[in-house]
Amino acid sequence: MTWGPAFDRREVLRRLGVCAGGLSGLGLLGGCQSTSVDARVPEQRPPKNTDEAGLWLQMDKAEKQIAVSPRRVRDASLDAYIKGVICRVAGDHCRDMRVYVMRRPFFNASMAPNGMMLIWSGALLRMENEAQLAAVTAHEMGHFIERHSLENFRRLKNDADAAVFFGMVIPVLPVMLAIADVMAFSRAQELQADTIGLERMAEAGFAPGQATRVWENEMAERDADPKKEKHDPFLRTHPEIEQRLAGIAKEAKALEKPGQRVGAEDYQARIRPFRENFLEDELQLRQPERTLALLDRLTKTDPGAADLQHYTGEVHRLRHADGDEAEARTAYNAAIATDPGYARAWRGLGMLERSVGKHDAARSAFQKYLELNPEAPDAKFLQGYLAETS
Amino acid sequence: MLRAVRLGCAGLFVLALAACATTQQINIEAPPKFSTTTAILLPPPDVELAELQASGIAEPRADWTETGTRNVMAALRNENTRRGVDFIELDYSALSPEEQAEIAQIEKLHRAVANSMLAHRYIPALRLPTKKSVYDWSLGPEVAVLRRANGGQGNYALFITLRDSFSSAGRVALQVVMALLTGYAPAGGAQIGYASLVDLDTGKVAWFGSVAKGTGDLRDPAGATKTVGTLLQGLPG
Repeated sequence: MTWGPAFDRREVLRRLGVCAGGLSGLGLLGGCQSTSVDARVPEQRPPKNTDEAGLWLQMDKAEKQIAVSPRRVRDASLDAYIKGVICRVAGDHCRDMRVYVMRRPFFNASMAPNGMMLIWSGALLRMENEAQLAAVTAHEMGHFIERHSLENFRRLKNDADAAVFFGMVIPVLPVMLAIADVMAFSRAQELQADTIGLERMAEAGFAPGQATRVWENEMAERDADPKKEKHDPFLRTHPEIEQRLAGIAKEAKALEKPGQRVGAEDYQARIRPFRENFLEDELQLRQPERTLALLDRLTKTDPGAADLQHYTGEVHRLRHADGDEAEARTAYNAAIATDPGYARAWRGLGMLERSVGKHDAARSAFQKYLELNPEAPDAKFLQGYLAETS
Repeated sequence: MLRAVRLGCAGLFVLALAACATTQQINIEAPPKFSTTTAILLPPPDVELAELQASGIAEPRADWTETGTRNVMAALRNENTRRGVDFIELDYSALSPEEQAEIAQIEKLHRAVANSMLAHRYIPALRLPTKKSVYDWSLGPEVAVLRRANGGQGNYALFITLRDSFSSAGRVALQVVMALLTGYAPAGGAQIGYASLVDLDTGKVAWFGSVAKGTGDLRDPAGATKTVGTLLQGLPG
């Protein structure tokens, strides 16, 4: 082991004393380091010799990788738009925050203690307006301002330390207590971030009711999913959902005022250019019921959009259950009627007709697709099919 | 990212297991011969210093890491003079985001390959049948992108990873208690790391060295010099 000035003799003796005399409860060892932290002060970096600086060090390293990750959506104007919404809510903390949009098809956003905020493409796809974006980012900001990561880290460290000492006496119990402690704690943090988020978005003039909408939409999508418990990175650590949603709805109602901003048109105009790629990722999840519920909802806010029609067709074609063939054909044809130059729909239609043996119809659809998109990555494959069937 | 962390942990754990053997070098095929014109590119070394908590959680320390990195760099510059080879420190900041992204992927690949080398070298049960007598590990010719950070010049890249940890008061207390109760003391702080020399034409790992020991201190310039010396002991040239 590396001995040296890393530890102080008196501190060892103190801990030994705690260990020998303190077997009566977890609290004593757990209390060795205070877990409570004050809200952050804008533009302040933690002193280098602190545990917080250690967390930042790791997050700065992670951020370097995130910044150049192939999953990052690199679009300066999208970043600037999101940052603009964040800054309206963040006030003085705005300068300390950096936003990265990541291509991940789930509803999530996260905030690192060093000011790095990640927004997943699945969240951007699902949100309907600027107020919803403000609601989600303001919640994350709440964690940032209250320095929840640091609090969590300290809690975990103390609990793990305590578990090691008390595990000598009763091996399993301290671990279970530690897990329960950390989970209860993170629930309390979520509720605190909810409150901060709602207050800040309302203060910035956004309609707080949209925070409730985000959750209602998420719940509706979840309910549509027959395997809803399985894929849920968003909800896993979040408190009992109905209870939490009721809390948000109540707080939001109290903060509602006439004339608060929703900003649906602006938001949708910004996201629409990316929607096609985000939907393509969503499709890869193979959760047809959920994706159809999402597409239905998006269609209500943006009726007659070729990309939404096309992806509705894709979900039906790939699900391949009773009635899906007809549904898919109708959807592709609707997309083509909306925009005859929408190449992806021609390809989808071609794949559908090919799978049911209607080769003539498939051929003409593929020809149209290749005409519109001669550089398509699957051009060679489709030319092979055309040659084979001619 | 999580998977990379886990892999890294597994690799370091393997090294920790091998703590009895303080250093090991793997020469892949014939060791390279350096001449006065050989240029060895030095990507920023990945150095991290941490305090080991009672539970075994390693808490990273920013201040120690800063000092440690500085000391390792100084030690590498000394090595440079002592060996008469040219270590060229790379700085990626002038590269385009695309080039930086490509280099980030190379660095990740290097971590994965180095962790595999560690695992399959140090744990006899994990020895791969196809690599019993040959060590033909490679990152592929795409490593040439590293040259772009040095104006298109360079023969090798030397990747260095070092972790140094120190027991906290709580960890020492735990060691004392466990030793009293069971006669066995859980591990304290340790120094572990590896270096790989990669041929920039082929991507082959031309030489690989590691260090794992329970003493030493990168926070101290003399300690860093000693560790870097041990790590690069078998480096040709």
